[in-house]
Amino acid sequence: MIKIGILNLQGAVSEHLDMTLKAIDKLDKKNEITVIGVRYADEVSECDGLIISGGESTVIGKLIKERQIDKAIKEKKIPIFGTCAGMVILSKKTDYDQDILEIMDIEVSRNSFGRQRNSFENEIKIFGDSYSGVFIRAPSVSKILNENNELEILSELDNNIIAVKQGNNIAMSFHPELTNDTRLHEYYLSEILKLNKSNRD
Amino acid sequence: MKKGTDVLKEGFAKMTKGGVIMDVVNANEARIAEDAGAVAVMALEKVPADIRASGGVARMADPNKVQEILEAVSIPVMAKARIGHIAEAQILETLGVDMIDESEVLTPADEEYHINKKEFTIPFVCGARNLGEALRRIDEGAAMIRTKGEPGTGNIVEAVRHMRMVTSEIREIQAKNEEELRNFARFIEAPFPLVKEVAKTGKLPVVNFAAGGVATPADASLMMQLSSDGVFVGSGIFKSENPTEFAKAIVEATANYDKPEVLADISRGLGEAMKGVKISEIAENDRMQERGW
Repeated sequence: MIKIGILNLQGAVSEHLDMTLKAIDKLDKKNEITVIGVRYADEVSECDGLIISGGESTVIGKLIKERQIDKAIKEKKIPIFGTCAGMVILSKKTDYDQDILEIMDIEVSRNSFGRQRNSFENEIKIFGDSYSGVFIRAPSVSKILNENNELEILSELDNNIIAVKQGNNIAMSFHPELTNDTRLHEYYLSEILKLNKSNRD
Repeated sequence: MKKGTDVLKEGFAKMTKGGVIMDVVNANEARIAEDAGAVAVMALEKVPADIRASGGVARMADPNKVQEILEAVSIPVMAKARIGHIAEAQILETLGVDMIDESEVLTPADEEYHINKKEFTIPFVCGARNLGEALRRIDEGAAMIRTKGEPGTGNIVEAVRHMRMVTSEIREIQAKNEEELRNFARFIEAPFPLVKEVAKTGKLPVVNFAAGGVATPADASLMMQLSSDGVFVGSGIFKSENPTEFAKAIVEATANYDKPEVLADISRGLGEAMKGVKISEIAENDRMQERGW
């Protein structure tokens, strides 16, 4: 059984849990994948994949460090899907002094589109398909730090990089968990399934 | 590109879940709050305990003060407008505040109407003592609800009463059929479609926080155990003996609300909490929770 954890420290956790459950259902993989909320390092290290939700990146980052969840993630190289604050947490560098995982070769600018009055919904394109993008005080990638490191840009909006993939980690500046569209969660789960299959082979 | 949609307003509130929102009156306090792990700060002129002590008409904070706090931190900044005071809310929106608290802590500007919050791009949070009040505010466009409690008292009893009231009413309506729900909606003076939705989902359609009287880490844990999505702390932090320690402790208590052994450690040697007030010592027309309807 593959176990997906939703990091349950702060933010839109139940929304990701609901979406992941729906995505598992759509993929018809109930017998292969389970999903649970995780709050401590020992729970995180039992996961084959981890979703980091939107919320306040300063708060989530602080709790990750205090609970030594960063060590659990790095030791087991757990593939992470981060949205909004999750993208900030995954980055190597931000424009603010805060605790982050420093996993992906990106520099992130927080609140890159402005404060809440500038939050917006806009159509975005990923893999040639259209999605509804929900951007709430959203970050964006301001710089790719190491061009040689297989970092793939999944989506851009008006020259802002809003979704990237590097190795098994995916970061998005928007909130697929606030829509009714499970395709991006299905994509993440499919990547985890592929990875687990190739590890077994 | 769409702005100010319900998804964006309610989504903003969802991002604060599991967190602590702290009242601050200057840039320095705002930074202490952010460093301690607050998910947002509430910018105001005076904390509720001081508003209560000084009397007179309590209004929106000076724009200079709001500006100072907006510039001091990277986390969201909220600010309070008087109930029904459309102009104060417009000013706060122009200043760049991320969410407005249409708050009974300030002196109401309108005794009949709350602000039509749907007219605004930024989201609102409003206080409620029961399900009817919560649903009336949501119907007006509130993207987040909080208990009213009794602000500035350091006494949790009213917040507990309000949170328990909402949850017990939600439990009650889940057993009702359509006809009974219609009657109940009339009885609690709430719009029927919202009552029906709550009966079906078993929860409020927006995020629901605790506020009004939170003074200790244990208070924060108590409110989380009573199913709050998060906690507002007003006077509890900066009216305590060690604001920095109290701020950190209340954040940790909210994140570890169901771990008594952790709570015991957090609560040790914190120093004196804010001085509390018994609700019975406050004359009925001085109770802030009676403002709004």
